[in-house]
This record gives sequence, C-alpha cells and structure tokens, in this order.
Amino acid sequence: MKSIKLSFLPLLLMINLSSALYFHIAEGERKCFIEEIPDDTTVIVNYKVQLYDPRSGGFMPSTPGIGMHVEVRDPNDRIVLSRVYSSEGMISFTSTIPGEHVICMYSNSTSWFSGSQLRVHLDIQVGEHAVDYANVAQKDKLTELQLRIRQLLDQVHQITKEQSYQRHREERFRQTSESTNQRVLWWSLLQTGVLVGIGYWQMTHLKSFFEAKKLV
Amino acid sequence: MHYASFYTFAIILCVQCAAQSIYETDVNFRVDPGSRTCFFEEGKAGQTLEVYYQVLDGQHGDLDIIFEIINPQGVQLVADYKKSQNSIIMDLEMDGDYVFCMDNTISVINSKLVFVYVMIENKVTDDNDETEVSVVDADGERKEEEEVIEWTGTDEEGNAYYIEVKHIHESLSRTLKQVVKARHLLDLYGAMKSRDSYLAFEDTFIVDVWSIFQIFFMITVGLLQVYMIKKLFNRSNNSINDYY
Repeated sequence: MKSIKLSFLPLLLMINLSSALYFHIAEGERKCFIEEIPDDTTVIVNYKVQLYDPRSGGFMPSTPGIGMHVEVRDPNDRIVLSRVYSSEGMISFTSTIPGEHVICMYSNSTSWFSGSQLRVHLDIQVGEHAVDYANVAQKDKLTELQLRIRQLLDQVHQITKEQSYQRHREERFRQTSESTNQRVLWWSLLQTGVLVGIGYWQMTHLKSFFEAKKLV
Repeated sequence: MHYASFYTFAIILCVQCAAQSIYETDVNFRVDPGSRTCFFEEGKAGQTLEVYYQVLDGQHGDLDIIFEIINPQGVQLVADYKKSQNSIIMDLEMDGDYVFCMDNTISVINSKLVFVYVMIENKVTDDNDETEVSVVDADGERKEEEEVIEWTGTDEEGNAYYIEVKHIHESLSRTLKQVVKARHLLDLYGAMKSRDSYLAFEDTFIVDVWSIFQIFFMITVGLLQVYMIKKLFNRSNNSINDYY
C-alpha cells in the first residue's frame, strides 16, 4: 500500500503579498477604502509598510517603529475597530450589518525623515477569498477532490449571501426613489400654495394702497 | 457506493493549469477634488492585464475621471480623459511595477469614488490541460501512476459503473472556474448598483435644492412687483405735486 502524502495543493488563486498592489502615502495623509459587503462576512486586510530612504533612493524593507493607525467604520458610522498596528500585519473583522464599510489608514509616527513617503502594500480579501485553503486542507486532512468541492461550496454560499444582499440594496434603492417622487409632489403643492398666497397678498396690499391714495 | 475504493484513490492529482498564478483585486478608491491618486502593481513580461474601472459617485458633479496606466519605463500606455468607465485588456511587455493613476484635477469641489478591478495572469494556453495522476510512495518520491484510476459506483439497477477520477477532477476544476467567473460578474454588477444608489441620493438633493430656490425666487419676485408698482404711483404723485 503506497503511503499517501498531501503535498502543496495547486490552488486556482494564489495570494502573495509581495505581488499585492501598493501605493504611497505622505506623512499625516489619510487613505480610505470603501468595501460594500453583506452581513456576516469576514474581511482580511494584509498590509506591509516600507519607508522611503532618501539616501539610497529606495525603500527600506521593514522598518520597526513605524506604526499604522487603522480605523474601520460600519455603515452607521460606528467604529468597528480602531487600533495602531506595527509595520506589517493582518487585520480581520466580521461585518454585522450589510452595507458600506470604510477602512481608513494613516501613519501616526512622526519619527521619519520629514517630507518622506511611506509605501504601503495592501491586499483586501473579502468573504471566501479570505479563507486560506492550504490551511483548511491540512487541518481537515482533505484530499484534493474534497478541497475542490469545499471551494465550490464556499463560493456558492458566498454567491447566495451576495444575492440576498443585492435584494436588500434594491429595496433601499426603491425606497429612495419613491421618497424622491413624493418629495417632487409635495414641493409642487407647496410652490402652488406659495404662488396663490403671494397673489392674494399682492391684491390686498395694492387695494389698500390705492384706497389710501384715494385713486379707487 | 464504494467509499472505501474512493478513499483508496485519494492521491495527488497534478493539473498543469493550476500552476498558473492569477492575481486579481478590486478596490474602491475615493479621489479628492484637485488631487491625483496612484497605485502600483507588479507585472511580468508576457502576462495579460485586465483593468476595469467605473466611477461610482461624483457627488454633485459628473461621473468622470482621468485614468492613466504607465509602464515601468514611464511610457503612458493608456490615457483616458474624462471617462466614466472603461475596460482595458492588454499584454504586458516588460517586467516591473506598473502605475495606475486616477486624476481628479478636473473637479474643484466634487470628490469621486472609483471602483477599480485589476487582474494579472499568465498567458492562457490553448492546448488542453492533461491531468496527470501521480502517487507519492513510501520513500517520498512522486511516481506517475501507470494504470488508470477509476471510481466505482453502483447505479439504481445495481450495475457497477466506472468513472475515471481524472475526469471527475477536471469537471470539478472547470465548474470552479465558472463559479469564480460568476462571482466576479456579480461584483461588477454590485458596483453598478452602488452607482445607481449614489445617483438616486443625488436626485433627492437636486429636487430639494431647486425647489427651495424656486420658492425664494417666487417670494422675491412678488415683493419686487409690489414695490415697483408702489414706487411708480409715488413718483407720479410727486411729479403732479411739483406743478403746484
């Protein structure tokens, strides 16, 4: 009986932070990202911060002492998490309300060279993208076929959640449209009333004016 | 059902196409008025790049932005001026960091929310991917299995049937690829719906502002009319009195 060993599983999507997108952020500058997610979804943010070194013109690999202040707000503008993290790390949170979550990050340290920039590598994974399938496979001792089936199940489950969230959003959109239509009606009625009122006031005012002038 | 035989066939299946790494990401960037936001992506020569961007929120202005893609040598590959959405597919020709810039200097008071989707993948090969079946033996060496591994099952009439495990795996991988594509399309659709929500919110604002303006304008005109008529009669009275 040949022994079966589970080696590295080729996955369809391989996430590697060094190939993630990066951007530059100046001192004190605040960068915000908006993620519109359904409820009960896990969001994992992987980031890495490098400091620009003016001597060599490049970026120092990892600088201790540089901290990033990360703030996550939910659609009702309540703070989900607000913490200072080190120069490299992983932030994860689970949404309780469906809607737009805002992830803001800015550097809180002043100990860098003035006028320098920070390079931030960022990778935001939402929902089933946040699951590390290599870990799951090792922990649950899944074969590759079972892993594929698990991946399929997760994807379909996420699609179902997204669809119900879309339905909830359509409902809100319809409410906004109906309220706009109602507003149009009420404003028109108000404007007609204002017109009639002004006309009436003009007539009475001029009538009393002419009577005072003894022209009528 | 022969579960025992299924587990015996739990081996490592190497699919050639799975060695391909695909990088995809979608982000929502808010670009302040009069500023320019850039982000960088690493690409290698020979890879295919697909970018899709759409302006979701223009606050009180138009839904447009200037979008640029610059290659590692500084040559501008794509320069879209004041477009609200675009989809770009291109082949990368050199290794390095590609710059994607969104420029909102065209607007003075409105910040723009832009949804950007980037996918970088190795060139898709057209030849059919052969699923190799291999087994790791006790020494830890990988050997290719010579005989065809099959999965045994029994249908309703009690007859045994065989399906090659290779085929099952290929079918599952195909299904997974389609489902991932469906998810991506759902994401794009979600971004479009979010744009509609912002537009609906903006409509409410426009209705309110213009209605209030119209009411004030009407009141002002009414008062002005009465004032002008009164002034007319006052002046004509004064000019008559001047003759005496």
